[in-house]
Amino acid sequence: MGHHILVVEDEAIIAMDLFLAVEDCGGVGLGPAATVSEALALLSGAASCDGAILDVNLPDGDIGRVLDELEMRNAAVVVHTGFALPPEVRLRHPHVEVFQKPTLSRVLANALAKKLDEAAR
Amino acid sequence: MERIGSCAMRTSGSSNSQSNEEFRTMVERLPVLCWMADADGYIFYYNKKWYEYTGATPAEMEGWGWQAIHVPAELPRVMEQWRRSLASGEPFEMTFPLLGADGVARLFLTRAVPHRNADGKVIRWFGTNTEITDLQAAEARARESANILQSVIDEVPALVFVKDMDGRLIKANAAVLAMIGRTWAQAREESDADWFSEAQARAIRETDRRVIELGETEEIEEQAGFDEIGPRVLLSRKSPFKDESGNVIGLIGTSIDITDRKRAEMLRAEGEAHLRRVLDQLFAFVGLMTLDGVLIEANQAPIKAAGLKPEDVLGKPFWDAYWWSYSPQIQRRIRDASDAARTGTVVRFDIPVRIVDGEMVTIDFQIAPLRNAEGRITHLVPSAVVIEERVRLEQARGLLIRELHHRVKNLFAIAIGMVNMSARIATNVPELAQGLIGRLNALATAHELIRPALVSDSGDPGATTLDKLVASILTPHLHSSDQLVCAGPFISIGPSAVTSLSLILHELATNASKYGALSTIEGAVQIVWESSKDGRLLVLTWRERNGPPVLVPVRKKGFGSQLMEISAKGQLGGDLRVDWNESGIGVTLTTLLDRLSR
Repeated sequence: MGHHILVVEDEAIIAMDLFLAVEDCGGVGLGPAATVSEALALLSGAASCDGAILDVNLPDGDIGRVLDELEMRNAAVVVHTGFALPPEVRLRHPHVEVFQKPTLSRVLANALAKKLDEAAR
Repeated sequence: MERIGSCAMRTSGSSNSQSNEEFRTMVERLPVLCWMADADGYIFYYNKKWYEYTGATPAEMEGWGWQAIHVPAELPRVMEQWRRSLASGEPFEMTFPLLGADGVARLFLTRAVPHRNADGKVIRWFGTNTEITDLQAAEARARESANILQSVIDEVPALVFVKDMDGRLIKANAAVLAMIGRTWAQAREESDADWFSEAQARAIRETDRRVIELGETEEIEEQAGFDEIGPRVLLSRKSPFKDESGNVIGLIGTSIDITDRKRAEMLRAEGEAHLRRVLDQLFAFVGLMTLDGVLIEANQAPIKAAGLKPEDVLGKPFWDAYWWSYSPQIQRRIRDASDAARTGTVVRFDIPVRIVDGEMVTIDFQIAPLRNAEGRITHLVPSAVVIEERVRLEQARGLLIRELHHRVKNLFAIAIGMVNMSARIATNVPELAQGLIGRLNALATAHELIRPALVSDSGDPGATTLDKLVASILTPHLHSSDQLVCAGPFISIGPSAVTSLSLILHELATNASKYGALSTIEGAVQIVWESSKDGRLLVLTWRERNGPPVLVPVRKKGFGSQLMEISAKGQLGGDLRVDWNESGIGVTLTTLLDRLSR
């Protein structure tokens, strides 16, 4: 399949798990990034990014700017968080699917794969 | 008659029978009616004049027979006083009519005096009845009633007095004399100025003059003298005193002492003023509303604290007060609460109110009915306490619960990740179990260490310190405490960083106890940390000594190394470098200091 998938998660062990789950689905992992700035740097350096699994609360702020960037690239996104999207982020991205922590990495990776399939059709 | 005879013998028989005879003759010839009685009042002798006037016989008159010549209507009065004199031994004096032989009743002034023996015991009564004219009778009656009046006036507890034009006493009852501490003889020679203070006497004199000049009755409170506590206060009623032709010749006054009542009133007024001052200081709000909702009273402190003036809230419908003028909904609630209180219901709720500069505070508000002694609702009592602190605590608790909830979810996410990762690398079940238990345990240790930060409401992120964390994670892997040497400054570790840091330390410790310095009892681990010169970074070095020779791993980086690296780079914003020295593994962990306290 070879989709490039960005993983943003500041909890190392969850990040690694997600990263490997993406690879299990045949994707190519980008990251994992633990901060907003790291994620933005990865995106600007990457030739392509088709999808992303994103945590919301990161050490340097919320995921809003990363979502903005991904939307510009038409990337498929699933969000994995213990809270919810902040209201102003939710307003800008009304259709983003949010999974409550803890959700199994396999479930998240499959959900993303499904979105990519639908987008491809 | 026998009795009279024997009596005459007794009274006159002893020493000088001639003078006794002369006395008897004189009595017989007296122009007045005379008689004698024994100590019990039994009359045993009447003189000749008595029989002449009454036309009665001695047998009819003897003892108590005299009652027959009395006017029946008068008799009880006479009997009563006669018995009283017999009992007390006091002289008898009375005016009453006696029936003559011609059937006409004429007035007699009757007097009787007791005769006593050497022991002072009454043995005889000598009585005379002297006929008097109507005028004399009237005078005698007037004297009697004046005496009665005087004794009545002396008995009443009020002060009764008559003053002349100059303010001197003409008449005063016993209460007046008792108050000024004078006898009547002294009092009539003195004046108010002798009994009262100068100012008091002047004030009394002014009132007296006014009553005399205007000729009108006045009721007035005036001070008269002092008792041990202070001035005595009288409630006086003064009227002009007129002679028969209507000229004012002085004044008549009655006064009652109201000193105690005045003092009680003053005490109560003082008590009320005192309570008022206490209420004004009270931080809680207390007010008083009329039934139609107008605020008529309110204590000062909460009004001042809200930056308001009393006139901002007093005298207008309570629901129009400044506090909630910003919100029609709250005004509605206040109005509804007032309506409910009017029907006897106490209403209470928490509402935000506006105070000075548009600032808002939350109050616990209540309106209750106020009932009078008969149980009728006369007023409404609004009261309130600011509960900002309580609201703040509730909010802090809400935050804490959300934070804990988030943390628990995060821990489960981490645990699931751990299981997934451990399953990927484990070659058999015991290895999987051992790896998982170790990592979960490190998480539990980390969680225990940050507990104070989660439950303290200050939100202080300095939950634990690096030295505590190092000791907690490493201790289970040590054979003896001297295998671990730590050195470094005091560094706070926050709730977020503690998970990553504890997992890194756990991976290092597990590795050391499996393959490195902690796998033997001779080995030792030295952990040293210091902050960089610019204060941005913390550099921690882990050095193992005296362990078995180190073999540089040939296979690709293990899970533990990846986990440490990602943790160091991601959450801690630094990196992790491993030196595979043969003498012992060396690790350098660099992190952002501000990330550590998160």
